[in-house]
Amino acid sequence: MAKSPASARPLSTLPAADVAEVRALSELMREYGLAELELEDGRRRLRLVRAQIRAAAAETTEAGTSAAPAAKGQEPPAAERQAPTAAPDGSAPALGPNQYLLPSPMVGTFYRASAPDAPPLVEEGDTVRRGQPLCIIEAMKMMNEIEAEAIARVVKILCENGGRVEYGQPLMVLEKP
Amino acid sequence: MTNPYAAIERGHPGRIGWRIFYFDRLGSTQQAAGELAARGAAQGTVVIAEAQEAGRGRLGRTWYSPAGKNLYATVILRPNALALSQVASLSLAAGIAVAETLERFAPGEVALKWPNDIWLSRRKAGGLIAEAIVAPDQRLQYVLLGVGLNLNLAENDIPEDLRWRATSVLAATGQRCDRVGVADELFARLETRYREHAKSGFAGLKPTYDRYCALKGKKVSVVAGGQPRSGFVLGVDETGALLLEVGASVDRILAGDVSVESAYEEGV
Repeated sequence: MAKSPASARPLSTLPAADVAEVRALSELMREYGLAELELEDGRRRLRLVRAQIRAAAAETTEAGTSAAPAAKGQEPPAAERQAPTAAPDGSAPALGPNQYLLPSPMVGTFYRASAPDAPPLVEEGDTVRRGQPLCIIEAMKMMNEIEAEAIARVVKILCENGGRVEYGQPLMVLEKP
Repeated sequence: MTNPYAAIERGHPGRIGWRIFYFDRLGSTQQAAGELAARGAAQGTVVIAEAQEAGRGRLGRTWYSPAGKNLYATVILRPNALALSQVASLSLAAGIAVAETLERFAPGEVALKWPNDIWLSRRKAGGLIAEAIVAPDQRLQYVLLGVGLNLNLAENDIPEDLRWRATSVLAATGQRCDRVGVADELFARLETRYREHAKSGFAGLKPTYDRYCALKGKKVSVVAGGQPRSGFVLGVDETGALLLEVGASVDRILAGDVSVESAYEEGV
């Protein structure tokens, strides 16, 4: 991907109208399964790359689709969210083609099962359908069940059961079929 | 079987308690409400059961749920505009509503043990469980807010091994309460606190939470993932996290089991 991250601006520095536009475009990209979108008019040039389609997006700080919700509330700007999301030991997992990372949407405790005596929600190698629960992140006794966005294979689970996870930390490597 | 809670159904879809499903016996109200929510039940839909066979506490811990004495309810919420960073404190906002409700039936005895236990006279009289369903595009689909309150459980009904740390409105005050009345009060208070939280987050609710915070100034130990940590509780911050003074530093605790370092005061 020929691009210079230096020219990419974090979402938080964009005017609100642009943020809304990025969000709308992100929705479109998701809807049509586009990996990349480039727009140019007299005023500016805009390029969006979807992190979850492009494994390579792990290296980019450009606004991806998952950046859209960052525009609301007090979440960190997209650039932070998209940042390489290195594993706790500092090593970013190597991704094969069609593979992507599932980032943690929040800080909390990572659980693989909904109860201590219950089997894990997913195992490595499982194929999950859209909407299937993948894991639970607990924060202040709010149990947040994280669902699969689309059919995928669980390639690797990157976090330990009961361990603390940070915002944006990769939880799993998933693979599109 | 008639639904005694039908009398307090109020308002339109979206208002807490607009529709109340009532069951004699359920696996758990969380489970039943989860199925309703997945099928599109509107915000404010409530599931109440007289008894739960698999009442769930945090992480699937079982919750002692005998029939006809207590209130077991799960409320379906759809806080679609809420940022994920604000979701966790929603259960604390709900805790305030529960405390305010019990305050009417057991004045002066109510406290909240961070994050989600309700105490009467320093024993556990109830708890909250909150489950959020989050899609990976980070959209919040719905939240299941479960409340279990010991109301008309007599001291003798409480299993002996739990008696030192569990109580009920009846056991704490000697007075029975009208369970439907408690539910009515609870849904109204939840509605208020839920709207306030949606509007201005937890920050505006923090002073009220502080009033009920049972742990403030207490020495506690926190077990979260790895090593237990000991320290003094300073209170909660504007996001609802527990502030623990450990030596010269202050830790923000987001998850974990907190126990007061004195058997007398320990919660369940």
